[in-house]
Amino acid sequence: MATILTLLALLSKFVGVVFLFAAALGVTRFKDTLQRMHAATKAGTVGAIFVMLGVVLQLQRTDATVVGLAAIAFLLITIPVAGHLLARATYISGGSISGLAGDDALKGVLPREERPLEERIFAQLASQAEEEREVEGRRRRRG
Amino acid sequence: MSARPLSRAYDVLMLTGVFFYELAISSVAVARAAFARTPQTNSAIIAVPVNLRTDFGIAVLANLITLTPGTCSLHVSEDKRTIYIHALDAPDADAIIAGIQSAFEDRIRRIEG
Repeated sequence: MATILTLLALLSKFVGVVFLFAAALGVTRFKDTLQRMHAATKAGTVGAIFVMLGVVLQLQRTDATVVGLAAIAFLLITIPVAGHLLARATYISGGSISGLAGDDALKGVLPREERPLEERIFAQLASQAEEEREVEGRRRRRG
Repeated sequence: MSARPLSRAYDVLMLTGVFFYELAISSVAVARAAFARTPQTNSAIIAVPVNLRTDFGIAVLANLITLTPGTCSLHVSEDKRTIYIHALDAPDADAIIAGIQSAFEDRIRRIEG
């Protein structure tokens, strides 16, 4: 019995690691943030759940089981909320949606910046530097 | 609230079961897309009409959408009649909408009572 449980634990952890690896691979390979969110939320959750189940099966203690199942429950509750908000923030702040092949039903529903955040920050920094140079130049001419 | 607590418990159990089934399927799909030599993805943002009365029901539906078949909820409209979702691979928007409605929305509505 104990052997079977240990084997099951090993198998479960292995499956979890495969899913987590797929999630990491998806995050690096998909085209835009919204697509990467799919990898991070789905495959990531399932991978974490399997690893957690494996640990529970291996330890075979009441406290470990309670903590493990609670962790799974909280993963299932929190990860979709985080994914939803991150994806929404990406859309609003003008993140790339270059992977979009079909239609964009959100167009006109949510405000969307035209340029991604990095470009806007760089543009702002550049204009600030320009201003400072102007001020410096004026001071030198006066003095 | 409900005259039939037993049937509601049954609906909750069914929803949980369907949810885990769909979660497994969608993770395999995402994993396969991640391992593919060239990721085949036709993403789209789709408006899904919802017909739920309670905020809790809508929150549950949005969460379930994020964790299941290639979709990720993006935004809920102000009047709570539409959920905007991002689909990883959406050759047919109507099929995805129908899938969400038959798998989750109808069950949640029955649980709402």
